[in-house]
Amino acid sequence: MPTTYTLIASTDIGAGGVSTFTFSSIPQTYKDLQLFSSARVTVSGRTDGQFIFNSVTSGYSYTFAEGYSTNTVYVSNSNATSQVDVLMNQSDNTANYFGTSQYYISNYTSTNQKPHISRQCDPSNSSSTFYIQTGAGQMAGTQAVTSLTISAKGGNIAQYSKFHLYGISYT
Amino acid sequence: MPTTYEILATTTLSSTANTYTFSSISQSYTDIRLVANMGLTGQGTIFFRCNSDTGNNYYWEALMAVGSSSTPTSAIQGSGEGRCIVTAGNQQTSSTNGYSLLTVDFMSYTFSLNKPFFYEYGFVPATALYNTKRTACGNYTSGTAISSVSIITDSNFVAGTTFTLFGILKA
Repeated sequence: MPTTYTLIASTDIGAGGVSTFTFSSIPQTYKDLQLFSSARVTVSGRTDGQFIFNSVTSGYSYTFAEGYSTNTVYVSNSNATSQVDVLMNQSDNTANYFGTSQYYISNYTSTNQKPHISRQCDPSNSSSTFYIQTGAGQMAGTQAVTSLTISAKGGNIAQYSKFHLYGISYT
Repeated sequence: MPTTYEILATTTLSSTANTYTFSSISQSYTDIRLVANMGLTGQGTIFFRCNSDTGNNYYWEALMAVGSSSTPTSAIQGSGEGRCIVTAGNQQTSSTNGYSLLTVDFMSYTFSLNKPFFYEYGFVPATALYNTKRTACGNYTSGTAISSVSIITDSNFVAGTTFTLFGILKA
């Protein structure tokens, strides 16, 4: 029986952190991609991370519902944005708590639009800094996804952050 | 390492259709996962049924982000409809605006009691008015194991729409 989920690449961030890194030369032999992240950034405030495909900085659409603090939810819509958000805990959040994200990216080799769905969380031991998010989006354009670049919106992605990219086969 | 996700069936529509059914689903797995990348010919409701069952055996609750940024997040409950609705008729529009992505996880699908499911649906076209993200969980309350799953719309799925079913083993 063939393996349907295959680890394409995995990154563990080392001492000092990095501001950005790239999963490059993504094989075009799968149908879908799934990105898992566990990450913090080295700055405080509501500063998270982001990713872009193929170094493209336009044409992303994204919508999400987010719950935070206690019983508070809101919706955000961003059409024609320059990136897709990735939740990462900040330095003033609970020590050693890492934000976690799962992105399912469909039909990434297509020349049509490539939809994605996600679930993300910035966990905390304080309800006032706890965020949970369910989102969806799309990358416009006609190019297949061959690279995925993840960045901190401020400071660096902190040491011990981890990112895993899986390819999902339909055969 | 054992293979835990196995492909059971996948299809790409060669022409428009309003229904696709995975039938004779193997009973050899622990859980099953449906992945659908869907374009519609026009506005339409999308829903699924198990075992062609139109009885009141579907109960679910969804957290939604719908429409423009001024629209609040809402939670809905569904029951008594003989189906589980994935998106309402005024939410997914023509495929010229983009494709939607749906994943449905049916846990313990061979169980003789209630079978829980969890779905995520996203549609983020170029027009924010139609942005939709739903995260839902529910139960299929029939005592019969799930041997078929149908994805149905009151519009039509466009050619190129893909439906895939994975079997998931616990080891």
